[in-house]
Amino acid sequence: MSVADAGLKGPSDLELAQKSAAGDGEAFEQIYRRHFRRVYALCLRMLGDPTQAEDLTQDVFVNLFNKIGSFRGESAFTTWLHRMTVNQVLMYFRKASTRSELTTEEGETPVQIVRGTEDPNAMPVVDRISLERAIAQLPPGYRTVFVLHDVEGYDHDEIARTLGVSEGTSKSQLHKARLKLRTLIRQQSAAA
Amino acid sequence: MDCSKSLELLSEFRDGLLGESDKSLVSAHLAICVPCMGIFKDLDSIVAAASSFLRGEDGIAFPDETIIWQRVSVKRTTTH
Repeated sequence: MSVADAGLKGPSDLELAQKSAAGDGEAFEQIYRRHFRRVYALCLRMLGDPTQAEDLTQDVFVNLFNKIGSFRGESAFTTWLHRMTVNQVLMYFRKASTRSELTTEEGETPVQIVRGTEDPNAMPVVDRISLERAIAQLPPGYRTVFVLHDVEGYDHDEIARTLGVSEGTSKSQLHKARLKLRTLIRQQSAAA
Repeated sequence: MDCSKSLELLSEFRDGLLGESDKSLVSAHLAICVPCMGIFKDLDSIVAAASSFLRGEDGIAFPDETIIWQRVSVKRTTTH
């Protein structure tokens, strides 16, 4: 929640956006300072790489500067900026030719269950570090759906519309992402 | 329901997205299948950890926002 959204002192995001659109550089810097951490955090979650996250955060705010005049306040500024950030990261994936990983359901070895070989106690308690490390190792398409659904709270309908895929693909990618994370976390534990 | 079909539906079962019929079948299978129940619990732990640890900005090592602001300023000047 932004400072303005929280009802604290200071101009609202809409006021700052309008001033920015009119050429007020200080207003735009206020918006940047107010939302930098949120944008960087989302970029980092989706990209899994701090350097890439820095670059994308920079690109998001340059894009925001160019488009801020189109913000009319119909939705919360944070929602609008969140969407812009997600789209910026998706555009990055497309440029990096990883688009196919957002839509294909092929290429992953299915989990095989051999009766008697699964130990329900074998996976360690999931802590933040092991989870973040595993997420960073996911293919970008899996990571995107997992972060949007399980971290950011999108539903499959929103993910499908955002990514331009079917809801079924979103569900399938999420399930595969979770199974892959399970494998990665167990591997981390075994290697420790 | 066999293990393969159960495994396929575990995430939707966990998220409450299955219809009554599939929900009952998966539930009945998990009640008698230790391996599938183990996987279900693992997936549930992962989802719970993601929503509790990774929402918001906790635990993130942020870069210097002033340095990135300077880069934004330069780039917006050259592209605008």
